Amino acid sequence: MENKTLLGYNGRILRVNLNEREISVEEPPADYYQRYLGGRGFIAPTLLQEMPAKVDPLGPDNQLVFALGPLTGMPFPGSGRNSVGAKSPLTFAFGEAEAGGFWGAELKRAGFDAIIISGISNAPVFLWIQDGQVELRDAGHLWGMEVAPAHLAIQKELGDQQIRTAIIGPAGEKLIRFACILNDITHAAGRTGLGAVMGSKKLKAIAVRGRNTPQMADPKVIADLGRWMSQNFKEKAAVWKYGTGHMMEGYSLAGNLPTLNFQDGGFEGVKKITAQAVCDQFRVEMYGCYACPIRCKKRVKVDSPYFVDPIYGGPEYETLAAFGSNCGISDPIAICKAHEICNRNGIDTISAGVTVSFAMECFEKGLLNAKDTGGIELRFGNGEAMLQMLEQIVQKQGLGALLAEGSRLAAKQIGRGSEEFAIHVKGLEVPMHDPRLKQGMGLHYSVHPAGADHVSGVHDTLLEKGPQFEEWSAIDVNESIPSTELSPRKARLVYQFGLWRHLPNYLGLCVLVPYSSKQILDAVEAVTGWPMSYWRLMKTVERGITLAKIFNVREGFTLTDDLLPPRFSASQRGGNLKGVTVDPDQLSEAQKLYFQMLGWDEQGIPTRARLVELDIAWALAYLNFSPKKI
Amino acid sequence: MMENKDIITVMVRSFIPPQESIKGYELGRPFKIEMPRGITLEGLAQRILSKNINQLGIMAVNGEVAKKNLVLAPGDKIDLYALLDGG
Repeated sequence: MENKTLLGYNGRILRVNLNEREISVEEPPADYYQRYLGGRGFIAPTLLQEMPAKVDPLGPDNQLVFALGPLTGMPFPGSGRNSVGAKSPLTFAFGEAEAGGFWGAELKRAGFDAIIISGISNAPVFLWIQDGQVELRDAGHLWGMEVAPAHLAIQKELGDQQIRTAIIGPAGEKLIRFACILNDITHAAGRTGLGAVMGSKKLKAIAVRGRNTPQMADPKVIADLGRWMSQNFKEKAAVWKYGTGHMMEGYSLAGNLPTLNFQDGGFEGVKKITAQAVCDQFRVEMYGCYACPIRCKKRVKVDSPYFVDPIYGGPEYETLAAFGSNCGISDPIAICKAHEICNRNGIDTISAGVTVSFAMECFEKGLLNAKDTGGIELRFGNGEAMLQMLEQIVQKQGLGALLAEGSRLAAKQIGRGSEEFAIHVKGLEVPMHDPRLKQGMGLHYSVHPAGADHVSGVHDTLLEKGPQFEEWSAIDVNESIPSTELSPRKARLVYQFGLWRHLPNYLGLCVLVPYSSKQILDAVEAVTGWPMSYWRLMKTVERGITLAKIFNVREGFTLTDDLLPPRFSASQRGGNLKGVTVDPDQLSEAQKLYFQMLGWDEQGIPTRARLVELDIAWALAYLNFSPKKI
Repeated sequence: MMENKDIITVMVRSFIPPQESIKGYELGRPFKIEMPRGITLEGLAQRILSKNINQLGIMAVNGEVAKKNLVLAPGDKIDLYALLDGG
């Protein structure tokens, strides 16, 4: 029976068991949608309830979940997002990532709110979804193909250039632990190695085509929001001009531009690698996501000394910094090429860049030598060496085979103190926001179930002056706190404002589209028709975070995993932030307070009372655990 | 032409749009502007950004982080950065 009571959703979740090649459709009750909303909210209860503890993340028992939010695919800017989740092969914890583009919106129009993939196919396949019809097709001819040729081959095979794909490259097939899934060639669900999970299942792609957007409760509100954003985005979202990375010089001055594997926060060569510099020299066009006028993605083309194929888009801030300043590289062409190699093969640019910078520091400090690297002088600043090592990683050859395991496992193998140069939380490499400047972000990195995730983190610097305090007072965020402060009131900020920062990943909304909190609330009500409140939305997020935490508890994660890398307890060597560190005692105290605000105990274990309060008391059954083995 | 001793010319690059239209302004690109001699960095930011000054993060003069009460000199290159957010 179709769920007629739902608006903004299809009321249908697709299940694909690749062991048996069984396809089925589930129609959850409206109550399920109201309780979990979508995106990350769908992923956490699914992984917790449907997977046994301690499964091999690259084995048949892991489940790969693609989940849309209620706003995904609705006709207004920012609604092109979807979430993906599984047990991570990089962290062995709750794994999750978001991506933009058009794929999520297309899946919504094709009749589903989520896809749950289980099992492993005995031969490569791809999933073809068209207007509610689903088919598994042979992908033997696509296996081994790079991302763009595979995407184009699927469109050609199915005879429709409007088909959208979520696809893996050779890196996912080779089970590289930070392989990603790409929507429409360039929009990556980058973090936590979900491309390797997809590769382990021998699932090359999910191709979708749909023509029916679910009905909304109040289409006029959504149309008005779209019109408002189209008229105002240039004043409110500077990313329209160059994409993210337009303020890298400011980041560098502030000490927020990771440099030389996070040893510093300012980079001498920053002017050469900013988004403006890249746009001025190599930009072909700006492009964007579904229904979005901001178009914050840059497409670059370079002919020499490396050919950089514009079909793979261009580097955004995280990539510019990860392969640029953090590897000491001021050659924008080398960075553009690194970005292309990542998208061509399907690996996360953050983890890849930070793993290369880890290896560079090991080389500089004598823990690796030219014999280890196959003759590559893997020093900071050597762009050619960075690209050669990246090729080794995607080919899983030489030292690259070890680095393809991620910086944590590579350091474990190299030993001799190299662990201090592996900049990760729970195995997930740290993004390009320095916790010494953004101490609330550091707290968030340390406690987030997925590891060092920046998409849902609090940018402390935004809250130093609080231009939006008037608006944020609705969620009780109205206190100006220095970004370098780590205190009880900062813990409160990470809790209170952090819930709001998580919310777009439950709704299917882009964090870069500058809606006010009231506009977001209005959009959810207009789409779903449910009476909404800030409290209700934030409780939904709390439910999701708590279930993700229980997933980790069941996997054996403890407080000892909620650590920041020791590098952040030492000062940058110069610049604006010299002398500023993350105090481990202050961090520990802030964590305890944060846990207690979430209704968890001081060890970070959710309490029965909070589970009852969140109406997820069923999750108590999953709180038995034994130590993990990695 | 006689030099106006009450006016200085500086180069400004702003990553925040001014509230009112300013000739030569383009997001993140330097433009030349005249200001009264003796104006401070904060004064310049206030004149250029008006109400949008609430978006202002760090400021730099000639490539160095500068304090808001710094008195500007002719030919100074000023950068006005928005509050640092994500990427």
